[in-house]
Amino acid sequence: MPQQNNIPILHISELNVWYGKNQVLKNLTFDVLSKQVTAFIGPSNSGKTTLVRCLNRLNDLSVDFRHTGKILFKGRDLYAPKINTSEVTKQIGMIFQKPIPFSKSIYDNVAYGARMDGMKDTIQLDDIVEDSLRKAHLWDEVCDNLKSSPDILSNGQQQQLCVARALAGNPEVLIFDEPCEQLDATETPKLEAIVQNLKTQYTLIFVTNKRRQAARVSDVAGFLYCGELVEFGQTEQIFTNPNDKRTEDYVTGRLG
Amino acid sequence: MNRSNLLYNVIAIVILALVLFMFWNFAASTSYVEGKITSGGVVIDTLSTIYGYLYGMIPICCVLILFSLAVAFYLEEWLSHRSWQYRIIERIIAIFACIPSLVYGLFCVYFIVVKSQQLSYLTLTIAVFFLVVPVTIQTTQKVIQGVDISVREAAYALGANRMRVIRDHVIPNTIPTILVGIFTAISRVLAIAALFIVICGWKITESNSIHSFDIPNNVIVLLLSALLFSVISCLFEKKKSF
Repeated sequence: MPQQNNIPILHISELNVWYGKNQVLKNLTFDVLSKQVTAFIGPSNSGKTTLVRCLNRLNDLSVDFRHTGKILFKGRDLYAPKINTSEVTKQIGMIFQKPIPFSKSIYDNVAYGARMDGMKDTIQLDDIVEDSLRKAHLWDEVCDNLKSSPDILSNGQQQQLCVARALAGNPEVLIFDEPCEQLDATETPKLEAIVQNLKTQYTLIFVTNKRRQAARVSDVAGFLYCGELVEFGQTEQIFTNPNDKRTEDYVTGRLG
Repeated sequence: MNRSNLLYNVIAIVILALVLFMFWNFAASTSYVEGKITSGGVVIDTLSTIYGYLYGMIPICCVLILFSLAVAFYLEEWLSHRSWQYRIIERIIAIFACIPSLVYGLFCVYFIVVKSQQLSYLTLTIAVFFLVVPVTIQTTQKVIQGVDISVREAAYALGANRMRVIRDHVIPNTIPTILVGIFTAISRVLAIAALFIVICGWKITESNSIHSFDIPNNVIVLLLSALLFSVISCLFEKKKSF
């Protein structure tokens, strides 16, 4: 059992989300505790991605997006009128389903966030790039090819590069939105190992529709079904002794 | 076609008709006279004046291209695609862009040479505006729309703001295709300029009772330049990254 940290870094209360007239999240309330892995599981179209995109305001890009309820990040309302969206997204990083390296060198990809903050000192940048690539377990594989294009990397390595790039921005929360969806069986355990190592320093939110993966990587899990947070609690309890029949059906494979 | 689309198209067509009407009135009534075709001996001077104007149009053309790019980026990056302003502007641009450049050229020749026999930077700017701006805006819009949304999201997720995303991702990914649009527009302008000079030359020849008219060398140069720009735009199109 991992050491518990009871400080909520994210507090979500009565969150409802609509895309146009379609309500995709219904009255969600939960806390995300710091330095833990919180997994959200559920079948496709249950609202997992919508939920995590609300947390770093990526949903703002959708014209139809509308929400009610509160999302507090360290006590500050993420959707307060005067909040700086760039500051929010900087502190709440995200890894997407598909690896999305930029059309820059491996080094420039990782240094992107630091350069955006105005850092120009090459020694400091070198340190950040090396440290981030080490945390993403990629340094040994790319240390001789830092100036190469990410195209030389495999799919899994590109996803690791995206993790390194997000870490270089020094976020407090890192969201993994089905990061293993396009990885093969040999690459998935590597990413899971990275997640396990990172949870001592970062708060991680992990979205997946693979039940076993959620059971392996997370400390806390939430089951979303049709936009509703059916159950939220310790991963062990969710998978071994769920309170709701739908959760039981999902974790045993009868649903979804 | 639903009712709102029909309404927007009607509005766009009305605006197009108004612009053409204003252009007609302007070309017919302006009192600014320069390089007017009069009698023998003025032929060469008049053509020189036209060439002078055409060279003078180069910086104006550059400004119009920059204006087009700014409008395209504003429409795609700032204005909501569902807003009525976007819908109307998009339809107006689509209508102006789909009109063949020859039509603009013939309008230009008719109003400036045949009807008013007057030449000014303003009339030429209006002509070049319609030749360059709609095509450049439309090409730029399409290519901006083609930028992978996931790249934008990845940059936003790292804390990039809109300007940063445009600078680091949209512009580098779109430059080759934007250049294709610009070169195509310049090629249209050069071809029309050549047509304009030829018709001016004929008009001058006719007004001076000269029965033979040699196509000026500059026309050949303009046509060759138009061809060159078309070729360059094709090359860019083949080399563009996506």
